[in-house]
Amino acid sequence: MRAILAVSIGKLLRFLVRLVRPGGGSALPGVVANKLDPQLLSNALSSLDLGLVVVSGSAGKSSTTSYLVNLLEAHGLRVFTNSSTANIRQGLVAAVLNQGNWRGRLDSDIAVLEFDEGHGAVLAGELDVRLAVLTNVLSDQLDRFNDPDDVIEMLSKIGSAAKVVVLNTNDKNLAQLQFKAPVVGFGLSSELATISNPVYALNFGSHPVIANFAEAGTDCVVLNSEGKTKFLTTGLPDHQALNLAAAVAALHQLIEPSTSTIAHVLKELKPVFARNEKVKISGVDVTIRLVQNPTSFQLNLDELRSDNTPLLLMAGRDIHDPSWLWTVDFSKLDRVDIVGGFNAHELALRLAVAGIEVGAVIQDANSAADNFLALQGTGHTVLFSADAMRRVRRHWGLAK
Amino acid sequence: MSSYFSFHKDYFDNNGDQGNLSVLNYFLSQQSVLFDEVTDPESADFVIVGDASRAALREYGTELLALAPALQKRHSAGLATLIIGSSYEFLASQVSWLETPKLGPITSEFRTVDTLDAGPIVGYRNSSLLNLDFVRNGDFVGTTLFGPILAKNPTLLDQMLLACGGSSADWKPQMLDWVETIRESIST
Repeated sequence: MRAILAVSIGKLLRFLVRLVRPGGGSALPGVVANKLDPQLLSNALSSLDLGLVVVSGSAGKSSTTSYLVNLLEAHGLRVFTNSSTANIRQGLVAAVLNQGNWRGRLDSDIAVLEFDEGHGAVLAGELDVRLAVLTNVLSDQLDRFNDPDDVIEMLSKIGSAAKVVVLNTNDKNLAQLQFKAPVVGFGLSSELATISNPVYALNFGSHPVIANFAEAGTDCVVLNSEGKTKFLTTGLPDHQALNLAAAVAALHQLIEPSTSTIAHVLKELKPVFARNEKVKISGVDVTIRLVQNPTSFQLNLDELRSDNTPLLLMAGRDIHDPSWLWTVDFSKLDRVDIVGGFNAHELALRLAVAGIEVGAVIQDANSAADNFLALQGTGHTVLFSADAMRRVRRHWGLAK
Repeated sequence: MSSYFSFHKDYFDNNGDQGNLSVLNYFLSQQSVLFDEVTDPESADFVIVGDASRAALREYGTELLALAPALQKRHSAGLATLIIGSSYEFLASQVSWLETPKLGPITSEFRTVDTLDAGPIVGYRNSSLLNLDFVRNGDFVGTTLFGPILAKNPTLLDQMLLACGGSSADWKPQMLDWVETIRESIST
């Protein structure tokens, strides 16, 4: 009865909010429904035959979640999942409102949920977690988490709640964690490790060796299972291969997958939106890249080519304290045509001090995006933080 | 020629504190003043010990404590020094010549601190230190306001530039507008 009331009011609120703001407003219905029935989420998830998988870590959550969902669906399973913008409690409840029936029951076989590190550490203790995928620990969101040590503790709690832990063995912050549950590793192949150098949160301790079940190689995922090695090719860029390896490793702990189905999915997979995504807006070809922390900003900058012009960099409201922009090495750039977003002035100042020419500073994300499209050139490229991305994607009609 | 010492700058840069060196270098180079790194904090014109993760402090805390006598001399003489965030918290908890910190819950927020010598100082704090956002003795500054504090506080920047043998910053008008916008945004 309680669930029906919570779901009914939640769905009604969701409908009303969307009348005012099409495509938005998942937070309020989720908050209200959770208040009315705090067990709504756990009851919905506990009814799934194949259980709950959570994906958490500083970066790579969305991509890994998306790839695992794709792989499971390709095997005929119905998967309940959440969007990357709904990875805290109210967002997850909102996803139940959206996809569940009037009793809050889900017509799915399995849930694969992206968990925010902070909220996930609390949530995981309340839920029956079958498997946890831990991607990495970066020096990220220090205004929220204060210190990477705290993130390590949060991920430890998430992993401790799971019956199997799949973790990135290249990140010694994770490799050092002790779990009662079996640990399955994924990481870079020795070949890719020589050309890719992810920067994880500082850790001066030893690096325990954990065997990799799946490894990210150049254009492939390498599976090491029962003494055999399989190579599965993928068209995804190298920096996504680690997320893909995580998804493939997790898949093998959940079902007995078909190699040919995995191979087919891996060939067809596209990067998650805004990860070097190509779009056409008002006749202009634009490459868009999401940057969420110093590591991903640096990675995306390093991948830029000289023909990626005109260039728009946007630092939105989600960057609560923009000081970390000063840890990014922008020396590769000579000029940024437009700097936009709520924190545009700090980003512009950082660029100017590095000797980089700034064409214009336009704080309003939509205006910055419009002015950018009007610029001459054939390699329009945008690097933006999550808040600026959401605003611009909505403005450009790429999201509701 | 001018010189600086930065304590393990790759690791003590949690929040872009080393950006302060970029700002000083930017204006000093405009003034044709060379700004070179030295390994002795006593002889440097400017010393910075940035904010660090707990992992970095576990690894280099002893080494940082070994620098305390040199830093104390700079403190007594009021020489240009920035000790920031967790490093300041760490040192202040270990030495008597820095004000003994009182600890409380971690507060993460923008702050404006009114100072006699440099007017309102703006920045972001993420610390458990109570009521110690910005303390100074001459040009020796201990602060919980991390990041590129000199970029956002032109009066303080000028004082540090003078201490480094340069002169007041000659801002491009556009850049100064950005700084004012940032300061206004933090103040409000």
